[in-house]
Amino acid sequence: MRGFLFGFLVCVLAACAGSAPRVSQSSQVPVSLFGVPPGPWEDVGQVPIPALEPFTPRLPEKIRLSNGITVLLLEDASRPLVSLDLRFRVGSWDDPRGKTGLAALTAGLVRDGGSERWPGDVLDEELDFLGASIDFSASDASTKAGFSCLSGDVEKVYEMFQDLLLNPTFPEEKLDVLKGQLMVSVLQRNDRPGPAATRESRRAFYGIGDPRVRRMEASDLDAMGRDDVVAFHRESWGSRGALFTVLGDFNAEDMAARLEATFGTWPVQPAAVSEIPKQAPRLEHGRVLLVDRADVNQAEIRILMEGVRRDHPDWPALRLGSFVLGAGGFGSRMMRRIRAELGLTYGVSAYWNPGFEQEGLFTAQVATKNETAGQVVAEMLSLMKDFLNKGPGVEELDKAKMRLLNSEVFRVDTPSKVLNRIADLEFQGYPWNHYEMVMAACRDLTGKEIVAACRRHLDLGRLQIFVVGNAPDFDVEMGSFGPLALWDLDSPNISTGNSAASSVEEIEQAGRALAERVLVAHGGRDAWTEADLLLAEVASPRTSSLLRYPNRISWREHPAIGRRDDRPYNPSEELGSGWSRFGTEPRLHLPLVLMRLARNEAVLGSPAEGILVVECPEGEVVLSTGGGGVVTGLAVENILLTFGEYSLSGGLRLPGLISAAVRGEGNSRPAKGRVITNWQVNPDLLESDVSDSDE
Amino acid sequence: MSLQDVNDGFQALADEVEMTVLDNGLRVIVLPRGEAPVASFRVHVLTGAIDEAAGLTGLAHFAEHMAFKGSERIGAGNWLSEKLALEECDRAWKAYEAARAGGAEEAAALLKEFDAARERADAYSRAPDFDAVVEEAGGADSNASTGVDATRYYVSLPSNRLETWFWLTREMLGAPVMREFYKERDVVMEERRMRTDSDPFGSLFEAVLNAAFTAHPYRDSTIGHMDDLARLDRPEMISFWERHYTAGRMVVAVVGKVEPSEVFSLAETYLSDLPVSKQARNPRTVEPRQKGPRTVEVVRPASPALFAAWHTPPLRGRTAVVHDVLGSILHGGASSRLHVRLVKEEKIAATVQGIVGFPGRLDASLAGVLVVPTSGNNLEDCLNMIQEEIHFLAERGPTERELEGVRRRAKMDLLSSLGSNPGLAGALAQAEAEEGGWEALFDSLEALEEVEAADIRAAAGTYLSHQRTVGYLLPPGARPSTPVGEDS
Repeated sequence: MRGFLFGFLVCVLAACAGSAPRVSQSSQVPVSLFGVPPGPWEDVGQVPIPALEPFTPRLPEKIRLSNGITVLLLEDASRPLVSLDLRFRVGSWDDPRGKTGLAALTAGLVRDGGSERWPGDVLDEELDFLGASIDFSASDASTKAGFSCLSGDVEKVYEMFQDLLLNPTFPEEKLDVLKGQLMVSVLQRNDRPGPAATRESRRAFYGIGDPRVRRMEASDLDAMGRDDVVAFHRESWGSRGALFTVLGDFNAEDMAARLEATFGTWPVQPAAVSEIPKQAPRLEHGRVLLVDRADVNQAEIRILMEGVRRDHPDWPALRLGSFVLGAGGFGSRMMRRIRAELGLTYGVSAYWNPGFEQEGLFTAQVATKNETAGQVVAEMLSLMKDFLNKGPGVEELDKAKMRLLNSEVFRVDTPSKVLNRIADLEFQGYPWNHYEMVMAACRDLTGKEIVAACRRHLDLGRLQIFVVGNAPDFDVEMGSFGPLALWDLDSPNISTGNSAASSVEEIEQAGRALAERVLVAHGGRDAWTEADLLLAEVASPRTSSLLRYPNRISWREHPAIGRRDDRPYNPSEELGSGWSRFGTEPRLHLPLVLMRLARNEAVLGSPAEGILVVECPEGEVVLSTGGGGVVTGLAVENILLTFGEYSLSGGLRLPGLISAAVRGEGNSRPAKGRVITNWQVNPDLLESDVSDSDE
Repeated sequence: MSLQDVNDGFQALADEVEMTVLDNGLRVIVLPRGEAPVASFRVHVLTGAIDEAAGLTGLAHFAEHMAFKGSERIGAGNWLSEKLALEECDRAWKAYEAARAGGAEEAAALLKEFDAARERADAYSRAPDFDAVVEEAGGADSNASTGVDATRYYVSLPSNRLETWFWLTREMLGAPVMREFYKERDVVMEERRMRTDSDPFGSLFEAVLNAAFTAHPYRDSTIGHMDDLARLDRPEMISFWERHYTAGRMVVAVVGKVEPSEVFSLAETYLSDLPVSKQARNPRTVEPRQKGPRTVEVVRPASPALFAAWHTPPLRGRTAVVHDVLGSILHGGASSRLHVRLVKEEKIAATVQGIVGFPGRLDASLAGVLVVPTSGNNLEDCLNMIQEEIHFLAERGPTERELEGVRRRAKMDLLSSLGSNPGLAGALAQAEAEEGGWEALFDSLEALEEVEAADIRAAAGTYLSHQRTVGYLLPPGARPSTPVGEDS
């Protein structure tokens, strides 16, 4: 197997090494106009390219411990170092509901807390003295633990490592430190718009209830104690699909014996059956989500669509297609057009990123000044469209193949890269020659095959375009690229219908509990139960009056007030004329939704903290709530209202300020995709206003 | 394997390094190693932001961008016509800029003329060809970086592209034509928005530099001020390049599966007629002694942070080793003094990181500590404790065990860097260009052995509170000394 594995790599390189010099020494050397004269060759195409010498990287040795745990050993005596890594199948995606971050916290506490023999602080000091390191960390679907040290210290550091792994003490004090650090990371998460855009665009795409995009909140941290960590460690850590890798200056037999003695007796656990969906969501229609942020001078743009798994037959074509469209450096169309030709960005890319198990996503991303955000989105879409229409040119495809195939040697040019790459494949159950097979397939692909595959997987009508930027400075309204909704970086506020892995009963129960909190926060169940005229108002042809006269309704209906408000309505700001759609959508009226809740006329669910999904006769509505149950936003399909500045209106709490966004249709869009309206509040009640108590 | 064996290993590696100096002063270092048919290339040019004149900040970094735009022999559609068009474009910009600065009415019309001239010039450009050759050859990690002291160009290629690299490098270093200058200016401005303006820490670091230095060019961040960037022109760029991109200020390092004799022979062929350095670097104003503590605040919607910086001497030779050891004892790792005190014991910081030689090492510089507090209302406590720890260290010195730990970590760091061709090429070129010879890379371990507790005490004693600059990153409405809202 080894012989065949990398054999063709060399052929690939030779094939793309370019032709022999076209002309020998140039005879007509023009006078230099600037700088040095030409060297021996006038044109770079004339420079000789010798054949590349053959190269077959050494592959790791694979052994199994007596309990079946796999070990990959790769000896490399070029430096007196040893590094050992263990990975096993439990990760953040396995975090229990309401305790997002538990896998990460557990890995951190095992490391920082240490064992009886090696308490964390003593361990830190000793490792720093040795110049060695021990690291534990959890990622999405796996946890990694390992060390690296001078080969002379391997016995000592190995002992520390295995003691940590098998006998952690989970000291409370270190838990507090770790939680403090994680809390800071929660507070910092929106400080840089780029990472925030990447994270939130994925949350929006998968749906905020999806375990693959769950975000740690302060409440998660509050909810996690030492017991949770201990239980998670006991139940989830162990030999589940475990894989050891060892690299460096060691003796393979000794290392195998050492691992057998420590871990050969580890009880064999099956890899936990993951309930994480492996498919990425499919959007039915394209959509645009906007985070309007006044403090940035650059817009961060992320365009997403579902992708493929690594073993999909179309993956080689998509990989090569990516190299033409937007991957692999300056040679892609995106970089040439948007950076080199237009000077609109420092970096732009577009590519499929497949998972081993997960489908992964197609992602296009860029940052550009607010004033050219629309132009850049339009350019990216047009480049994609053009690529899907015409496919790559003949020469362009040749060059893309050369970029892809000639650089492949840099994926195996050090023992550490070889071991990591094989370890990934082994851990995920892929054949060791997977990468070579993909490369071989890429080499033979034609332009037609590539574009056909890309058309199968890139549908410009189903893209999610996510933009973080200062919307008033945009050159083009983002709504012109598709139905627009506002997104809030902090509050979870839209569900795409994917719910978490929790049971239906749990979601419903959480929904009912949240509904009670919402009702209490807005004036109490009784007030809304008796809101008799509400439904009639909404159902009447004058539906928009509900939005225009919200205070009138609250006056008339609220028993605590007991009188009608007969004063004329005097809105401080009329709604834009293009907002008729707003008024014809009864579900958008918060009072109506509250009434449905109060009368138990809705099916409820809470797929994520602070999110209430309400299925009422008018259809599905998603409420997002802040502390205490006050509604911060309401979403129906592509329409999103964000509420702010609550005021008391006759004992009922109603929004004083609404930010709204609807799908863009012709002229019906408000300026900058956003409209603000102030609801009038009866001045008599201002004294009792408790609007600041909603957070 | 004992530490002595490790030292022997370094010696064995050092024995493999070969260097030659071309007649024009350009130095070439080669280290043949490894099994894979690859090589990593590094060009270290001793020019950086400190060589910029007032009002021209950003020029050195911008020059690095222009290096990839090709020459008259690569990236040119029709060089003779393009040259004329480029010069026309320069004149049009000058006319517009003069009118704009003078508030003249015809500025708008002149801008249109400039835009048209620019389009005419750009029409001849095949600038992407330069990168394309590298990428199609299989080039990996092709990039460059510019600092205050120096500019570095790097790439890794399959080893059969050795001559291709020399061909490209001759054109890049010896004959750049600065095409697409005015368009690339926009790209550089986007880079500034991304790295400095959009990044709270980027803004914080820039503010501290602006405050800590009043006269020395370390004051201005390398990316340049937005206003300067908007006014830079191509003739300035050409004159900057001609003055600073000269052979005596360049070191080339090649590490990988290569024959030293072949590398030297190609270097002779391709690089020996690059222009000789005729003048030394510009003299820089020595930063006057700071007479009192300075504080700056950066207010933006971000979580609070603190960056405190103290003046250091130029960091070369033994001074550099001593200050690096001091930094390592203060903030290098989980058992470092500041980490133990602020994160583990007092629990008032989530992270403590430090840097020695900020923003550079050539001239008197800064040592800084960045703290992210666990809550916004303890920034002052963090600062006081940092100053206290420095004070302890100045009074009592480090333990022998701390010093031994630093030595071992330095060895591990060096060993780790030996695992990669790019890392080695970079370290060798850096040591040769800035530390008096590539041997300094290995000699530094010896120098480390000689650092004593008294050296550390003395160095810590120079981090005086009245000569520090403290930058606070604060959300709107917060004060460093009063409780800061957790999030706004």
